[in-house]
Amino acid sequence: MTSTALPVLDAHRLRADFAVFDDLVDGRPVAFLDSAASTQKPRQVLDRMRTFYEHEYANVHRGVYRLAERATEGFEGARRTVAGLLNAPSEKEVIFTRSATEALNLVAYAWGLDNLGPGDIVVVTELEHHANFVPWQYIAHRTGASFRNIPIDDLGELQLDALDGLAREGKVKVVANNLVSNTLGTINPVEKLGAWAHEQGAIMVVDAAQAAPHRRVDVRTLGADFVAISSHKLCGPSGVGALWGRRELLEAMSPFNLGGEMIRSVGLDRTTFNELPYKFEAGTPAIAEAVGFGAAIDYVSTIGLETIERHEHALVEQAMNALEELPWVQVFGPPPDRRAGIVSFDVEGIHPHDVAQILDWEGVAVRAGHHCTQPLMTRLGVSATTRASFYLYSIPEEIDRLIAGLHKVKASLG
Amino acid sequence: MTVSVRFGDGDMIEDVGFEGRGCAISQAATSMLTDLVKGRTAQDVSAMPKEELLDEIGIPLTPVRLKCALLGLGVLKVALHRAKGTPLPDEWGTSSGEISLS
Repeated sequence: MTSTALPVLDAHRLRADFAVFDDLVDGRPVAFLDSAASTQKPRQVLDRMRTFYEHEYANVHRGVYRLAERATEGFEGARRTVAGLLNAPSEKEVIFTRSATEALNLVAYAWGLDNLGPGDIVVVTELEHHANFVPWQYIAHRTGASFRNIPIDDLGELQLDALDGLAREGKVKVVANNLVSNTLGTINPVEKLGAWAHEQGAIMVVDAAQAAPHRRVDVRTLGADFVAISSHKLCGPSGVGALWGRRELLEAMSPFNLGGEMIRSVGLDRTTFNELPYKFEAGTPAIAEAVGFGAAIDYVSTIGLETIERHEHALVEQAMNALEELPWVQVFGPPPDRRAGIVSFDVEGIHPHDVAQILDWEGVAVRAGHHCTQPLMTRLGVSATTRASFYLYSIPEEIDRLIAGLHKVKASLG
Repeated sequence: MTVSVRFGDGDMIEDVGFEGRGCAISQAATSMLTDLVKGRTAQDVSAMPKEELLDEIGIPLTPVRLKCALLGLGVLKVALHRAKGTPLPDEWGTSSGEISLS
């Protein structure tokens, strides 16, 4: 090893932070291969939330007393942490939402309803999660805009040569894409798409829910106008996510939810809206969850996103090599060097629900279904897939258990 | 809060007064502000950093009370903007919008 060697992630040591792995099922810890759906939580995050609830809790903003100040400082500190994760120019551009889904709905409603109409085109992709697909489909329908998608090739990668044809159909106003596909793990060329979107005068909306926990996402270089992320896929609690948006766009947008906090003044016949980011944060937010989100970002950042990315890359390579040795298994998506730590596959002649059921008897937790990507399932010609996904606490032994489990699946149902 | 400004030569602030109901901090801070800005130009005051007023106040303020302390300065900057076209602070951004039924 040279002195320039990159840090290696010690997943076995990190697993001590996750109590779930202390629980033995049939003598073994769960082989948790479903982190793309939601991640396990380290005690550092849970401890932070408990301390916050026990010693720093009150409603945020406006409270004059010291406890409310501490709560507000915790909440706003988490906002600065999210801004840091995304390298956002200002924390005013970071809006706390319930989830990445709500962040994407916010953009679709608050930007889309005012800016889309007949003759306009909204472009999504064939491998989009429903969260960045259905809101645009719906708002396009509501406004009379056309709704189109960028197809994928047989490796699950976007066919960018379709773009010119889309531009000829009308005025492209929105391009929406996930940075990492939640089903195939494809790393999408968002920078290129964003550049194309801006050439058309369109906004670029990026679902980074599957990317931000696993690799660096820098909004200053990504070329996006809006980026949605989620806490619970990044070792944080569910119930909170965030939207980053360009300030000038957010300022020009109508509000999404209305009520307390998002106002500057209210009268019988006139209401003015609050400044960013509060204009988009009506109602009491998920306060402790936001604080937990911040703690989770600190936890992941201390390990290092590049280190996590390399760790998952090694795991996905191991998994794909092992799966490709099974002639009765078909793996979907691009090769390991062009994907994140997600592998979807089909076991010949056996429904994914049955695959996952038998794997569970072996203590292997995987997801089986359409993964909220039904248009992609249609394109792949399947009704569902089995999906294994990895995170910082995943270890090679778990992939060995997955492969051994698949042999049992084949022996009992194949 | 209503702020009234009387201009002398050009856009020099000859006198400034305010009326309004508010907490002790907002009233005291705005009172200090009126002393601070007399004899200065609208352009100068429009660019006045909030720290200058906070230094004058000289006591630690929590984030919520900062809003109270800086209320008068904000209203004054809007008044100067309307009367003399001076710029509003960048950090305010553009309008956040409103609903108006009238």
